[in-house]
Parts: sequence; C-alpha cells; structure tokens
Amino acid sequence: MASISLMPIETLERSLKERFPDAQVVLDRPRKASGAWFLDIALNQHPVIVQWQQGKEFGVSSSPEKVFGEGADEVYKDEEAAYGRIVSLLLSRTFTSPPPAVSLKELRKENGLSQAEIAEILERQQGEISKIERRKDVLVSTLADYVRAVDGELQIIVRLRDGRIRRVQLEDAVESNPRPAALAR
Amino acid sequence: MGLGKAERFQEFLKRLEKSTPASSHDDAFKLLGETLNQVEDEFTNIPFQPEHWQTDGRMYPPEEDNAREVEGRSDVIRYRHKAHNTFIRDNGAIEIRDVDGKVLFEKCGSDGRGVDLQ
Repeated sequence: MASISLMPIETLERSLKERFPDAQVVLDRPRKASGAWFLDIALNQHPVIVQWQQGKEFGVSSSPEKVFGEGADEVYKDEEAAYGRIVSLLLSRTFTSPPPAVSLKELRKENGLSQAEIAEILERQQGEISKIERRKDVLVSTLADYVRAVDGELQIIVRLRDGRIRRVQLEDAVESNPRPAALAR
Repeated sequence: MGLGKAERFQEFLKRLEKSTPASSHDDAFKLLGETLNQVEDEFTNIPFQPEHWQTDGRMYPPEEDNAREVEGRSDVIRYRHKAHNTFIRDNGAIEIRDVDGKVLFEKCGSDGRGVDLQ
C-alpha cells in the first residue's frame, strides 16, 4: 500500500484524535499547502488552537480572550513538543499566557518611575540607568536590581522542548552582587 | 498612546467603517492592512514584524498565507487568524467574525452589497 506523506500538523491532528477520541479536532487547511494551517481542538469546551506553517514552529494558544490578528501565545520547535503541551492544556484545562515584551524603559514608565527615581533606589547615577535601558546585554544581577526597583521580581523561565517549564535559580547571585541598601528588605 | 488591545481593535473598526468602501478584493485587502497598521503604529511602539510566529502584542492584518476557499462562494476569500476569520468579497465587501462565528464587523463594497454569507 502506498504511504501518504502527511504534513506535521496532520500527524499532530491524528495523534490528538487517537489520544482524545471525544475531543473536537478540526483541521483548517490553507488555500495553498505552503500557507498557515490551523488546528482547532476542544475537549469538554476547553479550546486549544494550533498554528503551523512549513519552515516555522508550532504555535499553541488557549485563551478565553479573542484578540484580532495576534500571533501564537507559545511556540514549540516540533510536533512532539507541541503535542505534550496541548495534552497538558487539555487535561489541566489551563490557559496559555502570551508574554508581552516590554523594554526596561517601558517597564519603568508603566510603573510611573523616572530614571532619577530608579537611580536613587539603586544608588547609581541617572546616566547609568539610561545606559542600562539602552543596552542589548545586561548582567542578570543588574537586571534583577532594576526589576526590584520597579517593585517586581526577576524570574528566568526556561521552556524545554518537551513542553516542561522550569524556573532557573542562579547560584551565588546575591553574594557576588550585594544589593543596594534601598533594596534590602 | 497606551490603548489596550480591545480599544485599539474598536479604533480599527471605527476607522474601517468611516473609510471609503473598496471596489475590489485587492482594495479591501489593502484597506484592512493600512488601517490596522496605522492604528498599531499610532497607539503602540511595537515594531511591525509579521514574520514572528509568537505574539509580540501587536495586531497584524490578514496575509496571503492565511487565505482559504469558501465553499460555494468563489467570490469570497476567508483569511484565518488565531481567533478570527476575515472574509473579503470580490466587490470589496468585508466581514470579520470570531472563530465561533459571531459577526463583529460588516462593511459593504462600493456596489452596496455585503459579503452576504449564510
């Protein structure tokens, strides 16, 4: 029997139908095969939307919010990783959360702080704060202090290929970079 | 500056509503793109980077890659987004629905006819 070559998203569709026979799994094919494919899944009314295109990763979203023209909340390199995350979302009935990207400057402004105020909290010159905000690469300890100064907490999240999410704890970060007095709580 | 997504979407629809009706699919497609990009450029500082698959917080207009046939309607093209479908008729009419089929916006083409889906 001749084997039919399936698109990766069609393989994913097949795997999900086997895993969740009671789920509604609908493949929304593009006009051209090279276009963007969508897979709409609903298990007990909990929705997950997958998007895929040749040469791109798998986008996975599950949200009660419907925002027009928005990209995927999460991306996974292959169907195995996407499958793991989709199964987890369907079984736990949880939602994905998009990571809104903000610059340090935007973060500061959102919290109603000026560079001078951040400088005072961090016991630095205002010019240094300006430089930190413009840098493409910042020390983790500097970033952590900056985030504390805007009343936040820096967390480093790693999303592994199989869909697991881990928070990274760096060793000796506090000892090697003592906090300014204003941040010590 | 600083409008939320819901407010920016409403602003996009308001501007789309006020615009001169399109007379062809291509005009309507261009109108959608220009109007949404104008709103996003005005009310956010998120750069236009449609090649990114993951959301950056910006709303993007339909692209050719999102096109789908509409059964029994060779005069209409459906553009799929994550949570919405945008229908464009060859007379320039536009209709936006969410993925559950709820109609969010309708605009007739220059001939006064809408997309007129069933």
